[in-house]
Amino acid sequence: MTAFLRRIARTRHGPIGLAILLVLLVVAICARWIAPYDPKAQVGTSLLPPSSAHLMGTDNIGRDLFSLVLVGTRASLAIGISSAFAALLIGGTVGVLAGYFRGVAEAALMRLTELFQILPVIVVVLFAIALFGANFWLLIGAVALAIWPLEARVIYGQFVQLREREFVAAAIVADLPTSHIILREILPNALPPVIVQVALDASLAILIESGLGFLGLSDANTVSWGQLLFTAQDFLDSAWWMSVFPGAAICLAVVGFNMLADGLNEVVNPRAVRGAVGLPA
Amino acid sequence: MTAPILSARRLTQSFASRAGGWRRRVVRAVDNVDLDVCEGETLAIVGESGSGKSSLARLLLGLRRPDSGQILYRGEDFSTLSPARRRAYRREVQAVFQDPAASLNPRLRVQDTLAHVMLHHRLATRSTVRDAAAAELHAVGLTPPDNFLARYPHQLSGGQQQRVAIARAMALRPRLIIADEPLSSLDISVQTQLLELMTELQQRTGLGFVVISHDLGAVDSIAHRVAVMYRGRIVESGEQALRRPQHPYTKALVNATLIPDPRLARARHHLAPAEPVPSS
Amino acid sequence: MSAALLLDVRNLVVHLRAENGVVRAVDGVDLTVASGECVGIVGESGCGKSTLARAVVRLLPNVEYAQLSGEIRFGGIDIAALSPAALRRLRRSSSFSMIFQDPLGYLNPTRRIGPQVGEALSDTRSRTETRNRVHALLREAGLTEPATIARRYPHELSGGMRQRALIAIALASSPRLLVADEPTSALDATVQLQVLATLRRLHQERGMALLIVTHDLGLVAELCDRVYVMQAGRMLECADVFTLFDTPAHPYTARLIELSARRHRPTPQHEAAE
Repeated sequence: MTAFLRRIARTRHGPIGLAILLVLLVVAICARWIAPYDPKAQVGTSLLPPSSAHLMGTDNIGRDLFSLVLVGTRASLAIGISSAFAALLIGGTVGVLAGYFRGVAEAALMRLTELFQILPVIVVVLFAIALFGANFWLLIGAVALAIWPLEARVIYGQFVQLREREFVAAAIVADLPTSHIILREILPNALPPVIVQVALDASLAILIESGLGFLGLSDANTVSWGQLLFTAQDFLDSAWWMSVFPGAAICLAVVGFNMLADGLNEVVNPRAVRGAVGLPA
Repeated sequence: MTAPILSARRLTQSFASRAGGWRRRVVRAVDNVDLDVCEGETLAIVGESGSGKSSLARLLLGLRRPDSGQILYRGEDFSTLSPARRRAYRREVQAVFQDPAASLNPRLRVQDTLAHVMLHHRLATRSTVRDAAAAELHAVGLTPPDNFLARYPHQLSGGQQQRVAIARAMALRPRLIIADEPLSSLDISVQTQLLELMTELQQRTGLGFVVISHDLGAVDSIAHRVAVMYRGRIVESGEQALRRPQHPYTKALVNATLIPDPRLARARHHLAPAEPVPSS
Repeated sequence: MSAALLLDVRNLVVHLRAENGVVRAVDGVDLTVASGECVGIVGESGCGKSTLARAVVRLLPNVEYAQLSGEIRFGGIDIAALSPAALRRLRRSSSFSMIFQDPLGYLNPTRRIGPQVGEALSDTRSRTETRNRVHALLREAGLTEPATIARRYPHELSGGMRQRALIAIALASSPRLLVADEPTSALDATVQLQVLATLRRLHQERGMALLIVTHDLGLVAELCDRVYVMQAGRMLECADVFTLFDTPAHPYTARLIELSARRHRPTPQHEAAE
């Protein structure tokens, strides 16, 4: 694991992404202690511009925006990471099954994947919220539902290639059970690009969560960046800081995940980056 | 030679191909092939690329289903084998592939590659598997085995990788190994060593080989019988197929081998027309 | 002899970048090719022969080597020291070309063969003139229906035809030296013989020097005048092809020859000749 981190640190964008995410992670965990004020309490006049007392100003009901953004990190990161992994679980299962078994299973599962890929996310989430009401877990599920086809396609692509490889044929000839072939022979070899995709999907999930929050569809009881943007809408012309700082936070997290994905890609697939000169080996 | 262990009867497999335009053409990779492989013999199947020899190997290994025709395992139709007989087939018929690097899982150490197979077939227990794996490596000439057990495939040379692949096949005590171009990616000195290893294993255990190859010279030293494939069909077979070729294709194939002797090679320039019409 | 020396490589050292450290792929090698001569370099995989061949025609990407030193004189010019621009000019002016084992990797899959040969021609001409030149080159490379081939994409050709297309591209600059790295190893035996016959004809008709890199002693016996034997980045010996096969100086060479000979049985034709 440390060796892996060291290899990421030697890539071009990996260390920056890793640093950003580490800082965000620390903030997410320690937000309560770092935050200068109680994020839920009215601590000043409403709509104060940024000052030394309130680094990012205050919002419409007088809460300290800096504290809100710090606390919001937790929900946004949690939704980003957990929906990426939930998507991996769904997409992974579908991709593995579609990729290993040929014929009807393959066709049916991939059509299902495509169906979800063309389904408009917002409508799905609206539908779910209309049915169950907005809450944190539902949001994770909804975002995961929107992004799992990406994971499924990556894993499917890997499996379709790997199932033709000779070491898989050798395992079949040695009569090893199918579960062994899928889990022990193919899966470990299929994972590298999937890890990259999970990092990318985490940033995508944060963006989707922000979008949903912006539309007022996020959990009203949890502070998140998207939700801060939702309240900021009404004050766009009078209090720029209310939208700029949560927006910047979203931006930072997305850039962080993307750079990490870049770094992972370089580690996993060095040829793609280094092969600047077009001579095949 | 005793009763055939594996036979093919009117075996046919076609592929849809799109080569050369949008029209789909059906190519018969394996076309009405009849074949018997007897216990303890080495049968070489030779042919050029596209002759269907690799497709035939995959059919014989049960990795693909034929479009028509039968494969018989010890006289029983493959498609109606009972689960027990099928397990017996999977143990008795093993494979070695062309590219040794690709035929070993890059993320498994040598010992794990062997252990998976041995544990699944109950040829060893958790406590004995390491020693058993070491014994298999020893048997294929990877000595001392302790130097190789913990290595990953990419830490081995091509010849060593192919020996591990052979060890994995041999671990199941097979009666027949189907080897698809087992030598073609290796240097000639390594090829010679592997051919010697195959002969030695055969003498020691009485196992048979089906060797698929495009290299007549490599095959000739170990094959008891040769079958020549051309466009999906076996055009000629027998013990003397390469020495006294009858079919024009076999003759062309035999004459096309390069001669590692400058005088003989150059003498041939006058015999054969300098430049035949390029094939399409 | 030295007056007609086309390629003169002295003390060439190429160290390649590897995952951990460097590999001394070519480790102090001397190599000469006279005008119109056919020279072979034989060795087993990993001996550095392909690296040597690519270094000689300056086709090693900068990112791949850690160190490159020594002299590579082509027609008296030290091309090891040439700037990229000067090198490009030299390539276009009847100097050297190279063909490879896997032609598919060196042909653009999205373009037809004709334009790919056409763009290798050194000077600009009218469209019909270019087309005629392209057809002539394809025919010279042994493709009997150049007009049809020129309209095809690489994937529509067989392996032998692709290699011929690559030869046509290589011929476009009327090279005095053609470097061929395992030119026929990926081809079927019958096709291999035909492509070798084409190379031999080009060698004789154009007086073009050939530098053949191969693992196959049969190919050397077939084609080459003089042979270098390479092992672990160094030249073990160099001899006239007949001398090499009759009295190999180095035990490694002797073993390679013995193994190849053991592999080869007399063909029916030779039996008839006996």
